[in-house]
Amino acid sequence: MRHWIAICAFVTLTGCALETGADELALPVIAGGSEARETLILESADGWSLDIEEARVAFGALYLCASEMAGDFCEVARGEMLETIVIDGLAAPEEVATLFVESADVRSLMFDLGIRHELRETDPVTLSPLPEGASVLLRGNASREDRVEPFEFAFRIEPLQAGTTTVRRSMETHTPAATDQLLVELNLANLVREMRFSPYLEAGTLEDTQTLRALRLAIMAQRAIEISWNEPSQE
Amino acid sequence: MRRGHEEAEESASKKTNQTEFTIAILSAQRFILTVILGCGLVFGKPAHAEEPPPGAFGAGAVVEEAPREAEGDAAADEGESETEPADTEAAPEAADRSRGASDEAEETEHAEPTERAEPTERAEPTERAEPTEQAREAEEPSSDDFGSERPNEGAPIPQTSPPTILSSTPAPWPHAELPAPQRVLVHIDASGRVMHVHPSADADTPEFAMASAALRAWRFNPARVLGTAVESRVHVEVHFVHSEAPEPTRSQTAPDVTPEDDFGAGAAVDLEEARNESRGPSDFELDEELRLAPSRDAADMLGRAPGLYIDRPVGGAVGHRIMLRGFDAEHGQDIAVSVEGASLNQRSHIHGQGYLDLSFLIPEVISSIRVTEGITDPEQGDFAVAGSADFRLGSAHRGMRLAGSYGSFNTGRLAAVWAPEGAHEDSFAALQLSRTDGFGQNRSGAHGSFIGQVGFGEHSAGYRHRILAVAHASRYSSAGVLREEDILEGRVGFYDVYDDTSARAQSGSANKILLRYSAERRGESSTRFGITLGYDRFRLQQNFTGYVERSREMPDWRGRGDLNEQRNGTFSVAADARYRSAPFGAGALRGTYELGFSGRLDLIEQGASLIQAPQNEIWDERVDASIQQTDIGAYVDFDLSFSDKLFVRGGVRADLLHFDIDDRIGNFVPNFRRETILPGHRRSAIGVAVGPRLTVEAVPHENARIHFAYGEGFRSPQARTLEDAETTPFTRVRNVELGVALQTVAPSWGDKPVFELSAAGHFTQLSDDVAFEAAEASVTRIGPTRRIGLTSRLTVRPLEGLLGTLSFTYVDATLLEPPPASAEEPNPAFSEGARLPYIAPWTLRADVGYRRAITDIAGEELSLRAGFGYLFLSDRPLPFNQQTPAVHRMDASIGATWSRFDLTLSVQNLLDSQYASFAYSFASHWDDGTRSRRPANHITAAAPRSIELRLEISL
Repeated sequence: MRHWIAICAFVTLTGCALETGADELALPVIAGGSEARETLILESADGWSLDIEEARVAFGALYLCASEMAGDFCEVARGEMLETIVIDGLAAPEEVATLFVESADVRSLMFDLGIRHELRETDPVTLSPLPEGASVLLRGNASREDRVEPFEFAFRIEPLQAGTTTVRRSMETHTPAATDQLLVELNLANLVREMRFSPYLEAGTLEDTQTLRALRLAIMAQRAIEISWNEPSQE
Repeated sequence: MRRGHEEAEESASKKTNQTEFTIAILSAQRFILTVILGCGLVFGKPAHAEEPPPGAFGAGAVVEEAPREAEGDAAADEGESETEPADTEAAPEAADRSRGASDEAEETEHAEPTERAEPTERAEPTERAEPTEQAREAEEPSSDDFGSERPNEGAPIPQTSPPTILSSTPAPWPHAELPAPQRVLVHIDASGRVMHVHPSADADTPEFAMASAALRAWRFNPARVLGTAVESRVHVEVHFVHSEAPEPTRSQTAPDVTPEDDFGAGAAVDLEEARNESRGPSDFELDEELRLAPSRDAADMLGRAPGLYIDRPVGGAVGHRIMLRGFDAEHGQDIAVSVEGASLNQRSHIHGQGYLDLSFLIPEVISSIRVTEGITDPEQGDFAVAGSADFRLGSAHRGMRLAGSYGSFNTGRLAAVWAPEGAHEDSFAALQLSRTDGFGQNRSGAHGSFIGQVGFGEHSAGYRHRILAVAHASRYSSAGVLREEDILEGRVGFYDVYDDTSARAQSGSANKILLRYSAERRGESSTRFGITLGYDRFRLQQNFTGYVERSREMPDWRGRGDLNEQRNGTFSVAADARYRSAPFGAGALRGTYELGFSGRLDLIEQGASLIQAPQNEIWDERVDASIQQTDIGAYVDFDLSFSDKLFVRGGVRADLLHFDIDDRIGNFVPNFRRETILPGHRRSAIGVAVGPRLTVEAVPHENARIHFAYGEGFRSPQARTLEDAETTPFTRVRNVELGVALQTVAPSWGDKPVFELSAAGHFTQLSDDVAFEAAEASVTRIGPTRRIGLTSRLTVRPLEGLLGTLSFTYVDATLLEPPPASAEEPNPAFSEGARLPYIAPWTLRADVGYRRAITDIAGEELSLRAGFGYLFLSDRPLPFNQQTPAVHRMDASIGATWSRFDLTLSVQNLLDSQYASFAYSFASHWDDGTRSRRPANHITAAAPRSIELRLEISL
C-alpha cells in the first residue's frame, strides 16, 4: 500500500512541477501628451510658429506582436487593446484603457487610428469619437512675422486595405511584467517637425496638400505617437 | 421426467482415472499457433465396460473432426499407428463404452485395427486414456491431435488445461418421450461462453435445435494455455428434460459439485487457441463490460477501455476524437484500430493522419474489443503509438432480432440482425438506420450501415473462410465551435450555432465500403491470410475561425467566411498473412514463433478549398493532390516459456513506407511575384521503420503476475509534408511499461475471478509529435514529447449478476523541445516544458451493472438489469496556456428481458452536465466588432441529458 501511495505522490508532484506557461496580464494603458501643458508653441518646417490649442488623436485597436515585423506575421497577437481611445496631446498621461497581454516577448506592434477595415467590411468603419470621425484633430493658430492664421486640421487615416491595420512598427523586445504600464504619448513636436504650413494656406484646404502628407507621415512613420513600456522604478 | 439429468449425474460419479482428451490449440481472432497438447485428465468416464445408460454424459465423446483435418498427414503417421498392440487391445472395450453415447460409435466398432492411430504414445501410462474407436480415429495422424509425431513428443506442456463446465442446463423437450442425448461440438471462447455450436448431420432436427439453444446458456471455465484463457472446442452431450419442469442450472442446484464432475466423462477437447494475445496488464479484452452502462454506439463501447476518452465533436459524419493514456489521438493518428483484422486508419487523410470513423459499426454485432495500450505486440503496425484496438464481430444470439429506439431530440434508430440458426457466431447480417434532429442547433443528420459476415468451412477440416462486407453512408450538419466568451456573455447559446450563413453551412458527409476475405487454418501450426478492399470518401465543411481568411489566388477576395471544405477519397487494397509454428523446444524452454507479413496500397485523392455559403462558391484552393502510399511490413514474434513462472513474448517488426505525391498546386506563386514556374510539386520518398517489442511475464504466485514491456513503434507522416527524396521522418515511439496483475483464483458466478486488479506504470517518448491546429483544421508538428503515467483497473464480481469496473489513468504529458519561434510562426502556441494540449492528466471511469432473474411470467423468465457509468476528466490544458474545466458525466440505464422482448431505458449525461466535448484555443473573428487576434477558448458542446427507450424483439 505504501508503494502505491508513493507512486501516486510521485506522479502527482511530478505533474505539478512540470506545469509551466506564460501568464496572462491585464496592464493599464497610459495615454497623453509627451509635453503636457495648456498650450504648446511649436515650429513647422517652413518657419511657422504653431500655437497648438487642441491636439487629439484617435488610437486603437492596438496589437502587440511576437514577430519582428507586425502585419501578416501577427495573425495571433501577444497582446491587444481593442477599444478606440483618444490621446490628448496637451494632457498629462493618464490611464485610459486596459491592455491584455501575455507575459512573453513582444517585438512589434500595430494599431489603427480610430478607423478599422475588417475583412468582411466593404468600407472602413469609423470608431473615432472625434468630430467627423477624424483620426487626428489639430487646432490652433499659426503665426509668422505679423501674420496669424487660425487652423483646424481634422483628417482620417484609414488602413490601406481590408484586413490590415493602419500603422505597423517594431519595438524593442520586451517581456511584459505584471507591474508594467503601456505608455502611449502624442509627441506634437514630432508631428509638425516635417510639416509645411504654407501649402495649406495656398490651397485653402488640407486635402491633397503637402501639409496633410507630412502630418500623415509623421503619424504613421515618424513616431508622432510614441509607445513604450513604462517599467516601474527599481526602488 | 428428469431421467436424463439424473443419469448424467450417475454417470459422472463413476469417473475413473483413465480417460483422454485431445487438445489442439486454436486461435480465435488471430491466427494461429496450433499446439497439440496431450493431457491425461480424466473426468467421470466409467471404468466398466457396460453400456452407459442413454443420456450419460460424454462416454465416448471424442473428437471426430481430427481425422478429417488430418487426412493430409495420415500417410506419414500411419505406420506408427500400427505398432501399438496394447492400444488396439483396449479398443473393443472403449468402443463398447462409447456405443450408447455416440452416434458414431457403431461406425467406429467396425474400424480396422490397422487403421487405428497410435493414441497414447506420449502420455504416461497412468494418465493414458483408454481410447475409444473414435478416440483412435481422433488420434490418427492429425495436426490437431496428439497422435502426430512432434519434436516434444512425450513431454508435458506446462500450464495447459481444458475447459470445464461451470453451469449447464438440460434442453427442454415438449413431448412425452425424451430423445437420446445430443452429442455436439461446441466452440468456446476465451471467456467461457459458447461461441458456436457446430452443426452436425442432425442439424435440421428439433433435437439439435433444442440442444443448440440450451447450449447458449452453458458456461465454461475456459481452456488455458500457459495460464491464458484461450478458445477451444469440446464435445458435449446435451440431455433433455420435459419442458414443463425445466431443470435448474447446475450452479443453482449443486454448487458443491465440482464442475469437472458435471462436465462428464470423456469430454474430448479440441483446444485450438494458440497465440497468446495478452501482452500484460495494459492489454484489455472488453466483452462483458461493453454492455454494463448504456452504449449508443461502438465509440461508447470503446470508451470502456481504461484511460480512453472518446467523443464526436464535429458531428455525426466525422470520425470520433480519441484520447488515450496521455495521447490526443485525434481521429486516429495515435491509435491503430481494426475490425476483424482490417485496418480502419486512413493514411495521409486530409483531416488528420490515421483518420477513422467508427460510426459504421453496429453495436448489436460487436462481440468484444481487444485494446492494447502501449506498444508490446509485433503485430501492431502504423499508428499504434498510444495503442491499438481490434473490434471483433459476431452474434451469439441466433435468429432474427429487430431493435428500435426513440429518444431525445427526435432521435430514432432501427436495427436488424439476422444470424442464421446453426451457423457459427461469426455469420450474420446486420443493418442500422439512424436519424436525429440533434441536440441544440444545426446537428441534424442520418446515417445507415450494413455489415454482413459469413464464415464457412471448418478450421479442423482445412481452412475456415470468412467474408466481411461493410457499407456505410452518413451526412450530418455540424454546429462547429463557439467562442467561450460569446457563450458567457450570452451572445450565443451553449448548444447553438452562430447565426451566420457560413457557420450554418458546416456539415460532414462520408461513405465507406469495406470487403475482406480471410481464411484460416488451425492445426499444430496454423496459417491465416486475408485480403481487404476499401473505399472511403469524406467531405467536410467546417469553419473554425469565422472571417480571417483571404484568398491566396485572388488576394482581393476576402471575408467570405473561412468555410474550409476538405475532401478525401481513398481506395485501398491490403493483404496480410501470418504463420504460427508448431511448438518447439524441450524441457523448461518451450515456445512457438510467428511470422507475419502485410502489404497495403492506398490511392488517395484529396483537396481543400474555401467555399462561400450558401451557394458553396469556391473562392480559394488550398490543397489539390494525389497520393500513392505503400506500406510493406513484416514481423517475427516469439512466445517462449522458460518455466511455468517465466514467459517471454516479443519480436521485431519492420515496415517500409513509400510515398508518391502529386501536389498539383504546390510551389504556389503569390500574385505579387512574377510567375517563372507553373504550379505543381511532384515528389517521392521512402523510409523504413524497425522496432523491437518485448514482454516479460513472471508469475511469482498463482494470484499475481508481473510484467515488463518495452516496445518501439512508429507513426507514418502525412504524405504532403514530405520533401522529395526525404528519408521518411517517421515519428519514433519508445514505450516502457512495468505492471502487475492480481486476481483471485476461484472463479465467481461467471467464469472469471471475483477480483481482478491491474496496474501499470508507463513511459512513452515520441521523437516528433503533432498537435491539432484549429486554424488549418489539421495537425502541426510540435517536437518531441514525453509521457509518464500510471494506469490501473479494478474489476469485481462480488455477486451473481453484479459486475463493477473502475479504472483510472494519470499521465503527465510534456513537450520537450517545441519548434522555436520563426518569422512564419513568431508566436508559437507551445513552449518547452508545457503540458501537452487537450490531454487530461486524470481520467477516471467507473461502470457497474447488475442483472437478476426476478420471476416467471407465463413460463418465461423475467430478468431485470441496471447499469451505471461515470466518467471524470480533469482540467485539460490548451495551447497558449489556456485550459478547460474538468468533466463529470454519468450515464444510467434500466432494462427488462422477458421471453422474446428486451426493453431498455437509458439516460446519457444523467446530471445534464454542460461541458465541452473538446476545447481549443486559437484566434477567430465571428462577430461584427473589431477583430481580436488573441487566442481564445473555443468549445464544441457535448450532448446534454438525453433519454432513449429501446425495444428489441427476437424472432
